[in-house]
Amino acid sequence: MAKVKITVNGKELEVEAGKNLVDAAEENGFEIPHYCYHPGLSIAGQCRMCYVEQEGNPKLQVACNMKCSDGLKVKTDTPKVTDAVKWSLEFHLINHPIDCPICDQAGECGLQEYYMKHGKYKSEMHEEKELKPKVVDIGDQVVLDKERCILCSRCVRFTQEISKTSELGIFSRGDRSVIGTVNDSPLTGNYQTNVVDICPVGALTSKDFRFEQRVWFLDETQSICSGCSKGCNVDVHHKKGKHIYRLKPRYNEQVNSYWMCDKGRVTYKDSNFDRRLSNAKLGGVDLPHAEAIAAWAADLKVLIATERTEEIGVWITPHQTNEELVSIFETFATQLKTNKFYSESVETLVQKDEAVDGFLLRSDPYPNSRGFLKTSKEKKIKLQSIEDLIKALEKETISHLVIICPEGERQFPHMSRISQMVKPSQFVVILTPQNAAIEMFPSALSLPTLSHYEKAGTMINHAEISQSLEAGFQMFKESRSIQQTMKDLLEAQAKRAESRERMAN
Amino acid sequence: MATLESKSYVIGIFKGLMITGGHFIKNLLGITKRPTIMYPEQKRKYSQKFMGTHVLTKKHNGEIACTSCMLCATACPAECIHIVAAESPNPQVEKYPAIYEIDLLRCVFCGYCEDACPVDAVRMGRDYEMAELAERNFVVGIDFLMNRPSLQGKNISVFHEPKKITKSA
Repeated sequence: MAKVKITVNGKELEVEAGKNLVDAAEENGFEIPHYCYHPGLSIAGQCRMCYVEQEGNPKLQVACNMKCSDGLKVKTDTPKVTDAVKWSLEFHLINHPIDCPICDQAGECGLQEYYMKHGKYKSEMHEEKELKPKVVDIGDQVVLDKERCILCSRCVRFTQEISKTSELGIFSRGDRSVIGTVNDSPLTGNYQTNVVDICPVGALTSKDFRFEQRVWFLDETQSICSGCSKGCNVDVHHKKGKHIYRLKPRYNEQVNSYWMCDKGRVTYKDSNFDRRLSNAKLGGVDLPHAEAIAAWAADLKVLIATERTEEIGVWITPHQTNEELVSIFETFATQLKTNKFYSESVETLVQKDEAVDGFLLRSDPYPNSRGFLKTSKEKKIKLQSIEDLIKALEKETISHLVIICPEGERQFPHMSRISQMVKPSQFVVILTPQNAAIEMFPSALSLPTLSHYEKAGTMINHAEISQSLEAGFQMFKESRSIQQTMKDLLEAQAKRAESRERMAN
Repeated sequence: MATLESKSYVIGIFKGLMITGGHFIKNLLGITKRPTIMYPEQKRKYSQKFMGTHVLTKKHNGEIACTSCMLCATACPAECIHIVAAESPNPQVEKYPAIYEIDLLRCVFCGYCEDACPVDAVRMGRDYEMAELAERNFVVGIDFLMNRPSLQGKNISVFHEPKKITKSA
């Protein structure tokens, strides 16, 4: 892109030609207030908040409709501009109920922010506020409050341009204008909650997050959605790492832009405290992590002493990060010398992978299938199918099965099949963040691991883009990352070998 | 150099006992004003500004006035307020607290919650007798904060509903 020179408030800036002035100013530290402008949507010029003074133009101009061209000179801080912004805001607040105490948007609301920065501090309106319907149910994800709406039309443009469902529209005229759907029909599709994210006020709020928590209590951690192979960038909103409340899409031009699907938004529930395994368990009884590792090492010791390490079977899925997979392969293939690795046919998943609804959601349910294939190829691991595992369990060629469990729905079909085939003589170790799989293997040794949104590492998405997850919190003290578990296991193993040598001498 | 007086300690003891005895007699006869009171029977009158156990106000129909905005919990320096918001059963009201708990052992009685409340739903009460046997009894809920016996018939738990702004002539 060609660079052009523009001047904002007397400061000369070099920006890309044709870039939107609001974005260009923001990148260089000049804030231009705006409601209706969203970089992912078309331009409406409806809110009249982004007024700037352009040199050589007697009237104020809206910055959202200005493209950067050479020699453009604007001012954002003249008295004329601040006055116009102040009055625009007053117009927005004429019929706004100002019910911030009960509004979920409070704390991240455009009206609150600009009122404090540019607002008038005393309303000059004598008229009564126009009353409109408040808790309007539109669809299974979104609640609409018609009073709070400032008619910026971001949501209308979203359904027209991005989700292409064209459900929302502005009805009636003047101060009775409202956002709504035709005949009050509900919103449909997999991208409804995006209208909640782009709503600059609290008119559209999420049902899942409704009244759950005030936003100023929430901490943010960057992560990657675990829902499918798209790997949408997300911010995990949690309170002190104890409770995850919601996921919000994070801008990434190459992957998900500003959007995210509704299916992906609920994946945080699998990482939340109520579905988690909090303690290591052996046959349903809690025990400390170190003791659980010792019990595992003791069983491995027997296999090593009798040179039967090829009886170790490992079930893995592409839900793990590349780093976790490397540590698993190194521990079991290099150190313990087994070649029995089982997984579902990831290659078929990758080959058949396609965008299900033509936008973000993809058919491959694992976030790291490409990374899984790449890592196993690098480590020269030959992967066998679920059928092979069932056969091996039947013939009892496996006496020690390690299951690295994925999260959520995708664990169930395979896990229940395996659990039916496991015989009491076979020792089963499950590494899982969730408690769902534990119930299927009542006598197994289970070790709690970090859940998807607590992990650090990299994952490779469907377009071969390697993305990183950031470890921000740990919900349970007893849970360990898979790398740490593998390290602990090898250490316990070495200790046992050492004491055996000492006893032999 | 030891004097006779310091050697025979009896004189010193007698002097000391004279002071003690003097106060004893004065107090017994009520000659001086005593700072102590006969506590459980006799109660001290506290200032109207005294900040004791919290009160949740209620509207004229008996509903809780709190809208569960959690500003009190935000302002609280001791983090002793726990609120769970929910959809109100009354269609006129959108949000209300399903759970509103104050841990009185954690509370430092600073009154910030009262200051932060935008709807005057939580106030600092006048009650100061809060002895309990079990620790869990100090975590008090809506029922105690709104309807405890010491509040019956008192003005402090009455919510002043805001006047509706009408069009000026």
